[in-house]
Amino acid sequence: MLQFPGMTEDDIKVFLAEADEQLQYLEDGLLDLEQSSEDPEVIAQIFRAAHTLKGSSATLGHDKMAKLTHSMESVLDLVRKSQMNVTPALMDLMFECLDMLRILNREIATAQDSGADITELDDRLLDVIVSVERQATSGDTMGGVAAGENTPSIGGASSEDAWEGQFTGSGDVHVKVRFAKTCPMPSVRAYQVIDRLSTLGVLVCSKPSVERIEAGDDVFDLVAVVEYDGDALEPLIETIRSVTDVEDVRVLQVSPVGSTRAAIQADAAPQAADAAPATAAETVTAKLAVSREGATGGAARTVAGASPSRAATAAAGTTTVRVDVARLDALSNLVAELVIDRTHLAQLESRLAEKHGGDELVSELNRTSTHIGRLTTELQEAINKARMLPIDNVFKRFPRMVRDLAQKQGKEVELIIHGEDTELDRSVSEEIGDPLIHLLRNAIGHGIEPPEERVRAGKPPRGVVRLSAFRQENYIVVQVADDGRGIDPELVRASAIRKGIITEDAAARLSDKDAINLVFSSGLSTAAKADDVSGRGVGMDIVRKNLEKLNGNISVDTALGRGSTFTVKLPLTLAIIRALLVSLGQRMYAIPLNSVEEITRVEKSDISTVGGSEAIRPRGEVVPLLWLGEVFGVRDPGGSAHLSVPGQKVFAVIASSHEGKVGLAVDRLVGEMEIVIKSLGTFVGNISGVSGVTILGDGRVALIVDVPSLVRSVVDERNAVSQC
Amino acid sequence: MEQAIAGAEMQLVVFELGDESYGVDISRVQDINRMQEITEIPHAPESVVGVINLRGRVIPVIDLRKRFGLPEAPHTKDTRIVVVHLDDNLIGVIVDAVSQVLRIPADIVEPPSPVLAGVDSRYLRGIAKLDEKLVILLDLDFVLSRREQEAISEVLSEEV
Repeated sequence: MLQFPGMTEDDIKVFLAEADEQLQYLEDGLLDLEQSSEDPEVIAQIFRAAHTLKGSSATLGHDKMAKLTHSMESVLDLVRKSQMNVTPALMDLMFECLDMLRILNREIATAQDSGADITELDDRLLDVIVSVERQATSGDTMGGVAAGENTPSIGGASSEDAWEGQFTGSGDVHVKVRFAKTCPMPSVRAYQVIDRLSTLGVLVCSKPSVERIEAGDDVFDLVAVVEYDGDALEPLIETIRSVTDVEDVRVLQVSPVGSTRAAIQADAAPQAADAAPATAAETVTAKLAVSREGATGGAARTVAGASPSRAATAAAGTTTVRVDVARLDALSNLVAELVIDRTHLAQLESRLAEKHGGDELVSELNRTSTHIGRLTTELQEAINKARMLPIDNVFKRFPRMVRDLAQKQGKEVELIIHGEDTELDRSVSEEIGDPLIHLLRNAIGHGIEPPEERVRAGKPPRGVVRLSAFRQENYIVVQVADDGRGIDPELVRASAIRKGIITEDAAARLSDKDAINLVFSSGLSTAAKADDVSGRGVGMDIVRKNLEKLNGNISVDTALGRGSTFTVKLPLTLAIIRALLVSLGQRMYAIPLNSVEEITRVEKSDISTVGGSEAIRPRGEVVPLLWLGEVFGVRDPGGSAHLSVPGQKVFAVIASSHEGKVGLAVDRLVGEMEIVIKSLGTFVGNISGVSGVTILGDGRVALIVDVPSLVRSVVDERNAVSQC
Repeated sequence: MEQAIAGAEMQLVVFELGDESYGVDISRVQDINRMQEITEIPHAPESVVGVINLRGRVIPVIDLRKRFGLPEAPHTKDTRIVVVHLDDNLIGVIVDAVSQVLRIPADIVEPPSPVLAGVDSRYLRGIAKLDEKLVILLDLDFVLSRREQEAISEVLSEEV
């Protein structure tokens, strides 16, 4: 059990939320760095992430994470200052550190010590630092830069005496504040000082910057420049002194305006000293950022570019609220109930209108109920939107995964992601990750060839995997496409025969397309041998099964030698689907519309008996016929039993899953509507043939028919019969 | 303070089933409903009659007569569905009638005697002796537990 004294549960939550974000920055940055080696912007991003993690983990009191991030930061600092190059070995070390950080992060999340030891990694990081330093001291010119880095002085004002000037009227004022070393929260105090300065004048800039202070950096020495238009410095000094833990305050008036800024810049980056006096606030921030990062001209562009984006993030932060998912779910449930009541209200209203048409009260009720209806629809849309997340949340872990998989298998793979801002319901984004991981693994394991083989085939050695997401009506579609070897229908046939999935005869009769679809059947893998990446042949059938459970589906399109594209289609939200309502006597059932193929009317003469069970032949295809009433054990006197009366017809809903089709005989078709799926709950448990329940507009409960399980039961029965 | 002096009290919802009165702690009761249309669930556990819509929530309903092995009785205008909490679930229980809400001192509750007309003593938490009648305190967790449900279905399948 890990404990963090003085930290509330909320503190830890905040830490975790932030750490997840920073770990992601770190991962993205490392991946970028590997691609575009030594882009200063990328290095700065990685450095910042490590630094922020160091700060927050130290505050939390997780020493291992603080220590590791500190060492990482030191190494990254060397890279940033171009004192060492990015090598594959360094990248691997960094990725290992990242993995360790994730383990440590999980420790905090679960409050369980993982027993992970950072010593080995930390030693390796230290070795890197030592070796670089040894190089530097052996006459390398870089040594000078490193030395200059650690003198936190400010411009021409580095001499203490210069701080005690005479005040000559309004203008720029230099403020230097030192906090007591014992101060428990220097960043908070620094923020208070900045805050008070802002009330007295216009804050031009500060070192460290406000962003840094807000990010919680430890600040024991704060320097700020304020455009102050007061008459005397004393009130300013008094105001600052009133902040707790302020040990020393020095102020100095500097005029004219430009000189102050130039002085700050001059200290930080000598080459920028003769720059024209800055006027725009952004420029100052940018230049200050340079001083903070203490880097060369190249980094200036970088950091300046990065600052606004951080500022934007901070600004966005103030307009968003983190909400517990359970609250959103509760809200959705309430809205769903409102939708049901709205329908009922409309029904009551129309019945009233029939009875007392023309009555003033009825028409007023009509107006109100129409209005409520409109509001409810808007409310429903709004709450659905609130539950939407960009699919980036799912995609962001893939670049790393692809990198590792490719490296492990000696393949070169580029992952290209499209449509990562496509939004989908939380519930769907939770479910879509695993199938996509499977598909990506397959694309790299089976699809993309080793570089030599690709070159022989006249392709570039580096394979491309495209991951794209887009919306199509009420569905979200995600495609995983590779430019690899494609799926060979002959290989699939051979493998299926070998595994006993189909007979040789059946295999020969299959079209190429159907043969390829065998990859979704259980126990089939075309990989020569199973490895830990993909291919024990238990993948694709489970992927398909899981997707069907969510009322989605998967298909494949492949061209031998040119690659394969797997397309996953899922409803935008798992809570609401379109369904066909049917009835048996008084009872109502909902059949998910995505599995309904067609509806026909059949009479007794249309039904033939195949192997002891009934079947119909719409369009010449033999489809087993199930009487829904029999399946559900309904003994309803009002319902039509078997078709005893000649000429009497029933409706047969032809429904399909990947395993086949089944005709469901029902009494009546009621219509098509959107239904809210509700689970039967743990008390009742899983019921075969029923995937859930829904509440209809009149408050009645209808069962949702589980088409895949009905089809499976028919298939199983047929297999059992054929084996006898 | 007054309550402390008077001793602990219990508040019970009392319902009728056959010839007996049963009580459950009022904090466990969410709702008392008139009999309404119940949607049957095919292939559901024996005593689960079906599900009802309780203001937008779908709630399984069990027939306590079946659970206790009492003979079936037609539903009347007094029949009620008592909705109770079980862990995180709500479960409807069909009873013959709900008669009253009682406040009783805890010390009049006696442990169940092993033999009691018709009902397995494991279902009981105790018996409250009132002037005019006995109220049997039900152990809802046990009555409604999955384990019990499975035990029952095992017994049934053995009999078959």
